[in-house]
Amino acid sequence: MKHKTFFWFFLPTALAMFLFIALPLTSIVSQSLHTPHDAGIWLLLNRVIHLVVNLKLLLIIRQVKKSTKSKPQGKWVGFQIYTDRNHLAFKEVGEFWESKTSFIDFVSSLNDLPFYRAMGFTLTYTFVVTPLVILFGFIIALAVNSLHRHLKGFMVFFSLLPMIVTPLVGSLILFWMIDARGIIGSGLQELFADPTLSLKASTGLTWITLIVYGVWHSAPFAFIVFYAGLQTVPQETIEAAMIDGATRFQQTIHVIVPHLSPLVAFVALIQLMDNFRVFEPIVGFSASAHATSLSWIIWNDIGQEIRLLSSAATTSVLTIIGVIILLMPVLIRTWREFNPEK
Amino acid sequence: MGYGGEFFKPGTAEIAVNNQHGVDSLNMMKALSEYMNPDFLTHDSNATSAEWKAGNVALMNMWGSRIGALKGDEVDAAVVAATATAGPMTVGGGTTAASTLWWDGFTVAKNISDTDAEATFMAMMHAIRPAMLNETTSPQAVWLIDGYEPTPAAAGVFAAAAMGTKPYPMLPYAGLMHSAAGAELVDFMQGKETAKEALAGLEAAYTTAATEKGYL
Repeated sequence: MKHKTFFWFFLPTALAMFLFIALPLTSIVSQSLHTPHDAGIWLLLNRVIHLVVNLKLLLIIRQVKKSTKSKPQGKWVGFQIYTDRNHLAFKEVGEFWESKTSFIDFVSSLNDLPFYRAMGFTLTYTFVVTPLVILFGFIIALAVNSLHRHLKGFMVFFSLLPMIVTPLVGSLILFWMIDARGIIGSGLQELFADPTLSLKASTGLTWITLIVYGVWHSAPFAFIVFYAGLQTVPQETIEAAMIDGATRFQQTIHVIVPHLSPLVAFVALIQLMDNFRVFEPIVGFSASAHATSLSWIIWNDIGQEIRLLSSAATTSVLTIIGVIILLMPVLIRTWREFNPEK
Repeated sequence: MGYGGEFFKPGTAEIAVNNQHGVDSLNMMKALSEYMNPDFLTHDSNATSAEWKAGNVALMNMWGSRIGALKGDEVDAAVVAATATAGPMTVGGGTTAASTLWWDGFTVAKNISDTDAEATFMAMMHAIRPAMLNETTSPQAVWLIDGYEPTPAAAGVFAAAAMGTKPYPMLPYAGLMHSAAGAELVDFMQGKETAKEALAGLEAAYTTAATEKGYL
Protein backbone atom coordinates (compact mmCIF):
# COMPACT_ATOMS: atom_id res chain seq x y z
CA MET A 1 0.00 0.00 0.00
CA LYS A 2 1.28 3.45 -0.87
CA HIS A 3 1.93 5.79 2.01
CA LYS A 4 -0.73 8.20 0.80
CA THR A 5 -3.41 5.52 0.44
CA PHE A 6 -2.50 4.18 3.87
CA PHE A 7 -2.77 7.66 5.34
CA TRP A 8 -6.32 8.22 4.06
CA PHE A 9 -7.30 4.67 4.94
CA PHE A 10 -6.03 5.06 8.50
CA LEU A 11 -7.17 8.66 9.07
CA PRO A 12 -10.69 7.95 10.44
CA THR A 13 -9.28 5.40 12.92
CA ALA A 14 -6.49 7.75 13.97
CA LEU A 15 -8.96 10.58 14.42
CA ALA A 16 -11.27 8.45 16.53
CA MET A 17 -8.33 7.20 18.60
CA PHE A 18 -7.16 10.77 19.13
CA LEU A 19 -10.61 12.01 20.12
CA PHE A 20 -11.72 9.10 22.28
CA ILE A 21 -8.45 7.73 23.66
CA ALA A 22 -5.67 10.32 23.57
CA LEU A 23 -7.68 13.37 24.64
CA PRO A 24 -9.45 11.73 27.60
CA LEU A 25 -6.12 10.25 28.73
CA THR A 26 -4.48 13.67 28.66
CA SER A 27 -7.36 15.10 30.63
CA ILE A 28 -7.14 12.30 33.23
CA VAL A 29 -3.39 12.72 33.68
CA SER A 30 -3.82 16.48 34.03
CA GLN A 31 -6.70 16.06 36.48
CA SER A 32 -4.62 13.70 38.61
CA LEU A 33 -1.96 16.39 39.04
CA HIS A 34 -4.40 19.07 40.25
CA THR A 35 -6.72 19.43 43.24
CA PRO A 36 -9.61 21.82 43.87
CA HIS A 37 -8.69 25.21 45.32
CA ASP A 38 -8.76 25.47 49.10
CA ALA A 39 -12.37 25.50 50.19
CA GLY A 40 -11.80 28.20 52.76
CA ILE A 41 -15.25 29.53 52.03
CA TRP A 42 -17.00 26.47 53.44
CA LEU A 43 -14.91 26.35 56.56
CA LEU A 44 -15.39 30.00 57.26
CA LEU A 45 -19.10 29.93 56.56
CA ASN A 46 -19.22 27.15 59.09
CA ARG A 47 -17.17 29.19 61.51
CA VAL A 48 -19.51 32.16 61.09
CA ILE A 49 -21.98 30.24 63.20
CA HIS A 50 -19.45 30.61 66.01
CA LEU A 51 -17.97 34.01 65.17
CA VAL A 52 -19.11 37.22 63.62
CA VAL A 53 -18.47 37.82 59.93
CA ASN A 54 -15.11 39.50 59.63
CA LEU A 55 -12.91 40.97 56.99
CA LYS A 56 -10.86 37.80 56.70
CA LEU A 57 -13.89 35.83 55.49
CA LEU A 58 -14.59 38.32 52.72
CA LEU A 59 -10.95 38.26 51.68
CA ILE A 60 -10.88 34.47 51.50
CA ILE A 61 -14.13 34.26 49.54
CA ARG A 62 -12.64 36.74 47.05
CA GLN A 63 -9.41 34.78 46.88
CA VAL A 64 -11.18 31.45 46.16
CA LYS A 65 -13.36 33.10 43.51
CA LYS A 66 -10.35 34.72 41.89
CA SER A 67 -8.20 31.59 41.81
CA THR A 68 -11.10 29.47 40.47
CA LYS A 69 -11.53 31.98 37.66
CA SER A 70 -7.89 32.31 36.73
CA LYS A 71 -7.08 28.60 37.10
CA PRO A 72 -10.28 26.60 36.51
CA GLN A 73 -8.21 23.39 36.53
CA GLY A 74 -7.47 23.82 40.20
CA LYS A 75 -4.26 23.95 42.17
CA TRP A 76 -1.16 22.30 40.71
CA VAL A 77 0.00 19.66 43.20
CA GLY A 78 2.28 17.49 41.07
CA PHE A 79 2.47 13.95 42.37
CA GLN A 80 1.03 14.75 45.80
CA ILE A 81 -2.13 12.71 45.16
CA TYR A 82 -0.08 9.79 43.81
CA THR A 83 1.99 9.54 46.95
CA ASP A 84 -0.73 10.29 49.54
CA ARG A 85 -2.13 7.69 51.93
CA ASN A 86 -5.13 6.78 49.78
CA HIS A 87 -2.91 5.88 46.79
CA LEU A 88 0.72 4.77 46.75
CA ALA A 89 1.23 5.91 50.37
CA PHE A 90 5.03 6.15 50.20
CA LYS A 91 5.30 7.61 53.70
CA GLU A 92 3.08 4.95 55.37
CA VAL A 93 4.73 2.09 53.47
CA GLY A 94 8.10 3.43 54.60
CA GLU A 95 6.93 3.52 58.21
CA PHE A 96 5.56 -0.03 57.99
CA TRP A 97 8.90 -1.18 56.56
CA GLU A 98 10.82 0.49 59.39
CA SER A 99 8.63 -0.96 62.13
CA LYS A 100 8.06 -4.43 60.66
CA THR A 101 8.83 -7.50 62.72
CA SER A 102 8.66 -9.91 59.79
CA PHE A 103 7.92 -9.83 56.08
CA ILE A 104 4.45 -11.34 56.60
CA ASP A 105 3.74 -8.65 59.19
CA PHE A 106 4.75 -6.01 56.60
CA VAL A 107 2.46 -7.46 53.92
CA SER A 108 -0.50 -7.70 56.29
CA SER A 109 -0.04 -4.10 57.42
CA LEU A 110 -0.15 -3.04 53.74
CA ASN A 111 -3.71 -4.38 53.79
CA ASP A 112 -4.68 -1.30 55.81
CA LEU A 113 -3.92 0.98 52.87
CA PRO A 114 -6.74 1.17 50.29
CA PHE A 115 -4.50 1.00 47.21
CA TYR A 116 -2.56 -2.08 48.33
CA ARG A 117 -5.70 -3.75 49.63
CA ALA A 118 -7.28 -3.34 46.20
CA MET A 119 -4.12 -4.54 44.46
CA GLY A 120 -4.08 -7.66 46.64
CA PHE A 121 -7.49 -8.75 45.45
CA THR A 122 -7.10 -7.49 41.87
CA LEU A 123 -3.85 -9.40 41.30
CA THR A 124 -5.14 -12.59 42.97
CA TYR A 125 -8.29 -12.40 40.88
CA THR A 126 -6.36 -11.75 37.66
CA PHE A 127 -3.83 -14.55 38.13
CA VAL A 128 -6.36 -17.16 39.27
CA VAL A 129 -9.18 -16.35 36.86
CA THR A 130 -7.09 -15.93 33.69
CA PRO A 131 -5.53 -19.46 33.61
CA LEU A 132 -8.79 -21.07 34.75
CA VAL A 133 -10.71 -19.29 31.99
CA ILE A 134 -8.20 -20.54 29.41
CA LEU A 135 -8.34 -24.09 30.81
CA PHE A 136 -12.14 -24.29 31.04
CA GLY A 137 -12.60 -22.54 27.69
CA PHE A 138 -10.32 -25.11 26.09
CA ILE A 139 -12.06 -28.09 27.72
CA ILE A 140 -15.53 -26.82 26.75
CA ALA A 141 -14.33 -26.17 23.19
CA LEU A 142 -12.94 -29.73 22.91
CA ALA A 143 -16.14 -31.18 24.38
CA VAL A 144 -18.48 -29.22 22.12
CA ASN A 145 -16.29 -29.96 19.09
CA SER A 146 -16.58 -33.70 19.64
CA LEU A 147 -20.41 -33.57 19.73
CA HIS A 148 -22.64 -34.70 16.91
CA ARG A 149 -23.07 -31.90 14.39
CA HIS A 150 -26.82 -31.58 15.09
CA LEU A 151 -26.16 -30.83 18.73
CA LYS A 152 -23.25 -28.42 18.17
CA GLY A 153 -25.24 -25.30 17.25
CA PHE A 154 -27.44 -25.62 20.29
CA MET A 155 -24.53 -26.31 22.64
CA VAL A 156 -22.51 -23.36 21.28
CA PHE A 157 -25.43 -21.06 22.00
CA PHE A 158 -26.00 -22.62 25.40
CA SER A 159 -22.31 -22.28 26.40
CA LEU A 160 -22.27 -18.62 25.42
CA LEU A 161 -25.13 -17.67 27.74
CA PRO A 162 -23.00 -16.59 30.76
CA MET A 163 -21.21 -14.08 28.55
CA ILE A 164 -24.49 -12.70 27.17
CA VAL A 165 -25.87 -11.97 30.65
CA THR A 166 -24.92 -8.43 31.72
CA PRO A 167 -22.22 -8.80 34.42
CA LEU A 168 -24.06 -6.71 37.00
CA VAL A 169 -27.30 -8.64 36.47
CA GLY A 170 -25.49 -11.98 36.49
CA SER A 171 -23.71 -11.21 39.72
CA LEU A 172 -26.90 -9.93 41.38
CA ILE A 173 -28.71 -13.15 40.49
CA LEU A 174 -25.88 -15.18 42.01
CA PHE A 175 -25.77 -12.78 44.97
CA TRP A 176 -29.33 -13.64 45.93
CA MET A 177 -28.80 -17.34 45.24
CA ILE A 178 -25.87 -17.50 47.69
CA ASP A 179 -27.64 -15.33 50.28
CA ALA A 180 -28.15 -17.07 53.63
CA ARG A 181 -31.82 -17.34 52.59
CA GLY A 182 -31.10 -18.07 48.92
CA ILE A 183 -31.21 -21.48 47.27
CA ILE A 184 -27.44 -22.11 47.20
CA GLY A 185 -26.79 -20.41 50.53
CA SER A 186 -29.41 -22.37 52.46
CA GLY A 187 -28.51 -25.52 50.48
CA LEU A 188 -24.91 -25.25 51.68
CA GLN A 189 -26.13 -24.68 55.24
CA GLU A 190 -28.13 -27.92 55.00
CA LEU A 191 -25.20 -29.76 53.45
CA PHE A 192 -22.72 -28.78 56.16
CA ALA A 193 -25.38 -28.76 58.90
CA ASP A 194 -24.19 -25.29 59.94
CA PRO A 195 -26.99 -22.68 60.15
CA THR A 196 -24.50 -19.82 60.56
CA LEU A 197 -22.53 -20.64 57.41
CA SER A 198 -22.50 -17.61 55.13
CA LEU A 199 -20.63 -17.26 51.85
CA LYS A 200 -20.80 -13.48 52.19
CA ALA A 201 -19.52 -13.11 55.74
CA SER A 202 -16.00 -14.48 55.29
CA THR A 203 -13.32 -12.85 53.20
CA GLY A 204 -11.94 -16.14 51.88
CA LEU A 205 -15.33 -17.46 50.79
CA THR A 206 -16.21 -14.11 49.20
CA TRP A 207 -12.99 -14.19 47.17
CA ILE A 208 -13.76 -17.74 46.04
CA THR A 209 -17.30 -16.71 45.08
CA LEU A 210 -16.01 -13.77 43.04
CA ILE A 211 -13.41 -15.95 41.34
CA VAL A 212 -15.96 -18.67 40.51
CA TYR A 213 -18.25 -15.97 39.12
CA GLY A 214 -15.37 -14.52 37.07
CA VAL A 215 -14.55 -17.91 35.53
CA TRP A 216 -18.24 -18.61 34.85
CA HIS A 217 -18.63 -15.27 33.13
CA SER A 218 -15.44 -15.27 31.02
CA ALA A 219 -15.00 -18.94 30.09
CA PRO A 220 -17.43 -18.63 27.12
CA PHE A 221 -15.16 -16.01 25.58
CA ALA A 222 -12.16 -18.36 25.67
CA PHE A 223 -14.42 -21.19 24.52
CA ILE A 224 -15.65 -19.44 21.39
CA VAL A 225 -12.14 -18.36 20.39
CA PHE A 226 -10.73 -21.87 20.88
CA TYR A 227 -13.76 -23.43 19.17
CA ALA A 228 -13.12 -21.29 16.09
CA GLY A 229 -9.45 -22.30 16.27
CA LEU A 230 -10.34 -26.00 16.47
CA GLN A 231 -12.10 -25.75 13.09
CA THR A 232 -8.73 -24.90 11.50
CA VAL A 233 -6.71 -27.81 12.94
CA PRO A 234 -5.25 -29.64 9.89
CA GLN A 235 -6.85 -33.09 9.63
CA GLU A 236 -3.71 -34.53 7.95
CA THR A 237 -1.59 -33.92 11.04
CA ILE A 238 -4.24 -35.51 13.27
CA GLU A 239 -4.44 -38.52 10.93
CA ALA A 240 -0.66 -38.80 10.84
CA ALA A 241 -0.59 -38.73 14.63
CA MET A 242 -3.27 -41.42 14.77
CA ILE A 243 -1.26 -43.63 12.38
CA ASP A 244 1.78 -43.12 14.65
CA GLY A 245 -0.37 -44.56 17.43
CA ALA A 246 -0.92 -41.37 19.44
CA THR A 247 -3.73 -41.57 21.97
CA ARG A 248 -6.42 -38.96 21.97
CA PHE A 249 -4.73 -37.18 24.87
CA GLN A 250 -1.38 -37.18 23.05
CA GLN A 251 -3.04 -35.78 19.93
CA THR A 252 -4.50 -32.96 21.99
CA ILE A 253 -1.22 -32.13 23.73
CA HIS A 254 1.12 -32.44 20.76
CA VAL A 255 -1.02 -31.34 17.82
CA ILE A 256 -4.00 -29.25 18.92
CA VAL A 257 -2.41 -27.25 21.74
CA PRO A 258 0.62 -26.06 19.67
CA HIS A 259 -1.75 -25.19 16.84
CA LEU A 260 -3.89 -23.06 19.15
CA SER A 261 -1.00 -21.41 21.02
CA PRO A 262 -1.30 -18.00 19.25
CA LEU A 263 -4.95 -17.98 20.32
CA VAL A 264 -3.93 -18.74 23.90
CA ALA A 265 -1.72 -15.64 23.82
CA PHE A 266 -4.64 -13.64 22.46
CA VAL A 267 -7.10 -14.85 25.09
CA ALA A 268 -4.50 -14.32 27.84
CA LEU A 269 -3.94 -10.74 26.64
CA ILE A 270 -7.63 -9.84 26.62
CA GLN A 271 -8.38 -11.66 29.88
CA LEU A 272 -5.45 -10.12 31.78
CA MET A 273 -6.73 -6.71 30.76
CA ASP A 274 -10.35 -7.53 31.59
CA ASN A 275 -9.68 -9.21 34.91
CA PHE A 276 -7.37 -6.44 36.08
CA ARG A 277 -10.35 -4.13 35.70
CA VAL A 278 -12.63 -6.40 37.77
CA PHE A 279 -15.52 -4.28 38.97
CA GLU A 280 -19.13 -5.37 38.38
CA PRO A 281 -19.05 -8.51 40.54
CA ILE A 282 -17.75 -6.48 43.51
CA VAL A 283 -20.73 -4.13 43.23
CA GLY A 284 -23.18 -6.91 42.36
CA PHE A 285 -22.09 -9.07 45.30
CA SER A 286 -21.87 -6.01 47.66
CA ALA A 287 -18.43 -7.45 48.38
CA SER A 288 -16.51 -4.24 48.99
CA ALA A 289 -16.10 -5.11 52.69
CA HIS A 290 -14.00 -8.12 51.68
CA ALA A 291 -12.63 -7.34 48.25
CA THR A 292 -11.92 -4.09 46.44
CA SER A 293 -10.27 -3.39 43.11
CA LEU A 294 -8.74 -0.32 41.49
CA SER A 295 -11.87 0.11 39.36
CA TRP A 296 -14.02 -0.10 42.46
CA ILE A 297 -11.93 2.65 44.10
CA ILE A 298 -12.47 4.89 41.06
CA TRP A 299 -16.20 4.23 41.17
CA ASN A 300 -16.31 4.90 44.89
CA ASP A 301 -14.37 8.16 44.48
CA ILE A 302 -16.55 9.67 41.76
CA GLY A 303 -19.85 8.15 42.82
CA GLN A 304 -22.14 9.35 45.59
CA GLU A 305 -21.75 12.88 46.85
CA ILE A 306 -18.00 13.00 47.46
CA ARG A 307 -16.65 13.30 43.88
CA LEU A 308 -12.93 13.04 44.51
CA LEU A 309 -12.07 13.76 40.89
CA SER A 310 -8.29 14.10 41.36
CA SER A 311 -8.17 10.91 43.37
CA ALA A 312 -10.20 9.01 40.75
CA ALA A 313 -7.99 10.35 37.95
CA THR A 314 -4.87 9.25 39.85
CA THR A 315 -6.24 5.74 40.34
CA SER A 316 -7.13 5.63 36.62
CA VAL A 317 -3.57 6.50 35.65
CA LEU A 318 -2.26 3.88 38.09
CA THR A 319 -4.65 1.32 36.55
CA ILE A 320 -3.34 2.09 33.07
CA ILE A 321 0.25 1.72 34.31
CA GLY A 322 -0.75 -1.57 35.93
CA VAL A 323 -2.27 -2.90 32.70
CA ILE A 324 0.85 -1.90 30.76
CA ILE A 325 3.13 -3.71 33.23
CA LEU A 326 0.87 -6.76 33.18
CA LEU A 327 0.73 -6.95 29.41
CA MET A 328 4.45 -6.29 28.89
CA PRO A 329 5.50 -9.97 28.60
CA VAL A 330 2.71 -10.79 26.14
CA LEU A 331 3.34 -7.64 24.11
CA ILE A 332 7.08 -8.28 23.92
CA ARG A 333 6.41 -11.82 22.71
CA THR A 334 3.98 -10.65 20.04
CA TRP A 335 6.40 -7.98 18.91
CA ARG A 336 9.19 -10.53 18.56
CA GLU A 337 6.96 -12.87 16.55
CA PHE A 338 6.17 -10.15 14.04
CA ASN A 339 9.72 -8.81 13.91
CA PRO A 340 11.91 -11.91 13.69
CA GLU A 341 15.59 -11.09 14.15
CA LYS A 342 17.51 -11.05 10.92
CA MET B 1 -23.00 11.09 69.26
CA GLY B 2 -25.03 9.25 71.91
CA TYR B 3 -21.80 8.96 73.91
CA GLY B 4 -21.40 12.74 73.74
CA GLY B 5 -18.87 12.81 70.92
CA GLU B 6 -18.74 14.91 67.75
CA PHE B 7 -17.80 13.99 64.20
CA PHE B 8 -15.81 17.17 63.57
CA LYS B 9 -14.04 19.70 65.74
CA PRO B 10 -16.54 22.60 65.91
CA GLY B 11 -16.01 25.13 63.14
CA THR B 12 -13.38 23.10 61.30
CA ALA B 13 -13.20 20.20 58.86
CA GLU B 14 -10.92 18.27 61.25
CA ILE B 15 -12.30 14.86 62.11
CA ALA B 16 -12.83 14.21 65.82
CA VAL B 17 -13.71 10.51 66.09
CA ASN B 18 -10.35 9.00 67.03
CA ASN B 19 -10.97 9.02 70.80
CA GLN B 20 -12.69 7.11 73.58
CA HIS B 21 -16.18 8.04 72.30
CA GLY B 22 -15.24 6.53 68.94
CA VAL B 23 -13.87 3.35 70.52
CA ASP B 24 -17.03 2.96 72.64
CA SER B 25 -19.28 3.47 69.61
CA LEU B 26 -17.38 0.90 67.51
CA ASN B 27 -17.42 -1.66 70.31
CA MET B 28 -21.17 -1.17 70.69
CA MET B 29 -21.71 -1.62 66.92
CA LYS B 30 -19.61 -4.78 67.00
CA ALA B 31 -21.53 -6.14 69.99
CA LEU B 32 -24.85 -5.45 68.24
CA SER B 33 -23.68 -7.17 65.06
CA GLU B 34 -23.66 -10.47 66.92
CA TYR B 35 -27.46 -10.38 66.86
CA MET B 36 -27.57 -9.66 63.13
CA ASN B 37 -27.87 -11.78 60.02
CA PRO B 38 -24.33 -13.07 59.29
CA ASP B 39 -24.47 -11.28 55.91
CA PHE B 40 -24.92 -7.87 57.59
CA LEU B 41 -21.87 -6.36 55.86
CA THR B 42 -23.67 -6.73 52.51
CA HIS B 43 -27.01 -5.31 53.67
CA ASP B 44 -28.21 -1.80 52.89
CA SER B 45 -31.43 -0.29 54.29
CA ASN B 46 -33.44 -1.84 51.42
CA ALA B 47 -32.23 -5.28 52.44
CA THR B 48 -32.91 -4.70 56.14
CA SER B 49 -36.42 -3.43 55.27
CA ALA B 50 -37.02 -6.61 53.29
CA GLU B 51 -35.85 -8.70 56.26
CA TRP B 52 -38.28 -6.86 58.51
CA LYS B 53 -41.17 -7.31 56.08
CA ALA B 54 -40.35 -11.01 55.89
CA GLY B 55 -40.80 -11.21 59.66
CA ASN B 56 -37.17 -12.21 60.31
CA VAL B 57 -36.24 -9.33 62.61
CA ALA B 58 -37.23 -8.65 66.22
CA LEU B 59 -35.74 -5.19 66.80
CA MET B 60 -34.41 -2.66 64.34
CA ASN B 61 -32.80 0.79 64.61
CA MET B 62 -33.93 2.39 61.37
CA TRP B 63 -34.60 5.61 59.45
CA GLY B 64 -37.81 7.15 60.77
CA SER B 65 -38.84 7.94 57.19
CA ARG B 66 -38.93 4.25 56.33
CA ILE B 67 -41.49 3.22 58.91
CA GLY B 68 -44.45 3.82 56.60
CA ALA B 69 -43.20 1.31 54.04
CA LEU B 70 -42.81 -1.37 56.71
CA LYS B 71 -46.57 -1.28 57.18
CA GLY B 72 -47.37 -1.14 53.46
CA ASP B 73 -50.21 -3.04 51.81
CA GLU B 74 -47.98 -5.81 50.44
CA VAL B 75 -46.60 -6.69 53.89
CA ASP B 76 -47.97 -9.72 55.73
CA ALA B 77 -50.77 -8.69 58.13
CA ALA B 78 -49.14 -10.50 61.06
CA VAL B 79 -45.90 -8.54 60.53
CA VAL B 80 -47.81 -5.24 60.28
CA ALA B 81 -49.70 -6.02 63.48
CA ALA B 82 -46.43 -6.77 65.28
CA THR B 83 -44.67 -3.63 64.04
CA ALA B 84 -44.50 -0.76 66.52
CA THR B 85 -42.33 2.36 66.55
CA ALA B 86 -40.62 4.04 69.46
CA GLY B 87 -38.22 6.92 69.95
CA PRO B 88 -34.46 6.58 69.77
CA MET B 89 -32.46 4.48 72.20
CA THR B 90 -29.74 5.83 74.45
CA VAL B 91 -26.35 4.23 74.81
CA GLY B 92 -23.91 3.50 77.64
CA GLY B 93 -26.36 4.55 80.33
CA GLY B 94 -26.44 8.13 79.03
CA THR B 95 -29.49 10.30 78.45
CA THR B 96 -28.51 11.70 75.02
CA ALA B 97 -30.39 10.03 72.17
CA ALA B 98 -28.09 7.72 70.15
CA SER B 99 -29.59 9.15 67.00
CA THR B 100 -29.58 12.25 64.81
CA LEU B 101 -32.26 14.23 63.00
CA TRP B 102 -32.06 14.62 59.23
CA TRP B 103 -34.07 17.18 57.32
CA ASP B 104 -34.76 17.15 53.59
CA GLY B 105 -34.97 20.45 51.81
CA PHE B 106 -34.72 21.76 48.31
CA THR B 107 -32.08 23.77 46.54
CA VAL B 108 -32.10 26.03 43.52
CA ALA B 109 -29.00 25.95 41.31
CA LYS B 110 -27.21 29.28 41.30
CA ASN B 111 -26.24 29.22 37.61
CA ILE B 112 -29.78 29.11 36.18
CA SER B 113 -31.56 32.22 34.98
CA ASP B 114 -33.62 34.24 37.44
CA THR B 115 -36.85 33.31 35.64
CA ASP B 116 -36.01 29.60 35.91
CA ALA B 117 -35.05 30.00 39.54
CA GLU B 118 -38.34 31.72 40.26
CA ALA B 119 -40.29 29.03 38.42
CA THR B 120 -38.41 26.29 40.33
CA PHE B 121 -39.11 27.97 43.63
CA MET B 122 -42.80 28.38 42.82
CA ALA B 123 -43.11 24.74 41.75
CA MET B 124 -41.44 23.60 44.98
CA MET B 125 -43.62 25.80 47.15
CA HIS B 126 -46.69 24.56 45.30
CA ALA B 127 -45.62 20.96 45.99
CA ILE B 128 -45.57 21.61 49.75
CA ARG B 129 -48.75 23.69 49.96
CA PRO B 130 -50.88 22.88 53.03
CA ALA B 131 -53.72 21.68 50.80
CA MET B 132 -51.69 18.72 49.57
CA LEU B 133 -51.81 17.05 53.00
CA ASN B 134 -54.25 14.17 52.96
CA GLU B 135 -54.49 10.61 54.21
CA THR B 136 -51.96 9.34 51.67
CA THR B 137 -49.34 12.07 51.90
CA SER B 138 -49.41 12.78 55.64
CA PRO B 139 -47.80 9.49 56.77
CA GLN B 140 -45.17 9.65 54.00
CA ALA B 141 -42.93 12.10 55.83
CA VAL B 142 -42.71 14.37 58.83
CA TRP B 143 -43.79 17.60 57.18
CA LEU B 144 -42.95 21.14 58.26
CA ILE B 145 -46.23 22.40 56.81
CA ASP B 146 -49.04 24.33 58.46
CA GLY B 147 -51.87 22.00 59.42
CA TYR B 148 -49.72 18.86 59.57
CA GLU B 149 -50.81 16.51 62.35
CA PRO B 150 -48.33 13.83 63.48
CA THR B 151 -49.34 10.38 62.25
CA PRO B 152 -48.43 7.09 63.98
CA ALA B 153 -45.64 6.66 61.41
CA ALA B 154 -44.01 9.84 62.72
CA ALA B 155 -44.12 8.80 66.39
CA GLY B 156 -40.42 7.86 66.45
CA VAL B 157 -39.30 11.13 64.92
CA PHE B 158 -41.38 13.20 67.33
CA ALA B 159 -40.08 11.21 70.29
CA ALA B 160 -36.55 11.88 69.01
CA ALA B 161 -37.24 15.61 68.75
CA ALA B 162 -38.76 15.65 72.24
CA MET B 163 -35.57 14.04 73.59
CA GLY B 164 -33.53 16.89 72.14
CA THR B 165 -31.83 14.73 69.50
CA LYS B 166 -29.14 16.71 67.68
CA PRO B 167 -29.34 17.39 63.95
CA TYR B 168 -26.84 15.45 61.84
CA PRO B 169 -23.85 17.65 60.90
CA MET B 170 -24.46 17.39 57.14
CA LEU B 171 -21.45 19.54 56.24
CA PRO B 172 -19.90 19.58 52.76
CA TYR B 173 -17.14 17.24 53.95
CA ALA B 174 -19.41 14.79 55.80
CA GLY B 175 -19.65 12.64 52.66
CA LEU B 176 -15.86 12.22 52.67
CA MET B 177 -16.09 10.88 56.22
CA HIS B 178 -18.91 8.46 55.31
CA SER B 179 -16.89 7.12 52.41
CA ALA B 180 -13.74 6.73 54.53
CA ALA B 181 -15.73 5.06 57.32
CA GLY B 182 -17.29 2.61 54.86
CA ALA B 183 -13.86 1.52 53.69
CA GLU B 184 -11.89 1.62 56.95
CA LEU B 185 -14.24 0.13 59.56
CA VAL B 186 -14.95 -3.20 57.82
CA ASP B 187 -11.80 -4.90 59.10
CA PHE B 188 -12.81 -4.03 62.65
CA MET B 189 -16.36 -5.33 62.12
CA GLN B 190 -14.83 -8.61 60.93
CA GLY B 191 -12.59 -8.81 63.96
CA LYS B 192 -9.36 -8.29 61.99
CA GLU B 193 -8.47 -4.98 63.61
CA THR B 194 -8.88 -3.24 66.97
CA ALA B 195 -11.21 -0.26 67.31
CA LYS B 196 -8.21 2.04 67.80
CA GLU B 197 -6.54 0.84 64.57
CA ALA B 198 -9.79 1.23 62.63
CA LEU B 199 -10.32 4.78 63.91
CA ALA B 200 -6.71 5.72 63.11
CA GLY B 201 -7.30 4.38 59.58
CA LEU B 202 -10.54 6.33 59.27
CA GLU B 203 -8.85 9.52 60.45
CA ALA B 204 -5.95 9.11 58.01
CA ALA B 205 -8.20 8.24 55.03
CA TYR B 206 -10.53 11.16 55.71
CA THR B 207 -7.71 13.64 56.28
CA THR B 208 -6.09 12.65 52.96
CA ALA B 209 -9.36 13.02 51.05
CA ALA B 210 -10.28 16.32 52.74
CA THR B 211 -6.82 17.71 51.98
CA GLU B 212 -7.29 16.79 48.33
CA LYS B 213 -10.64 18.57 48.21
CA GLY B 214 -9.14 21.66 49.84
CA TYR B 215 -11.13 21.50 53.09
CA LEU B 216 -8.03 21.11 55.24
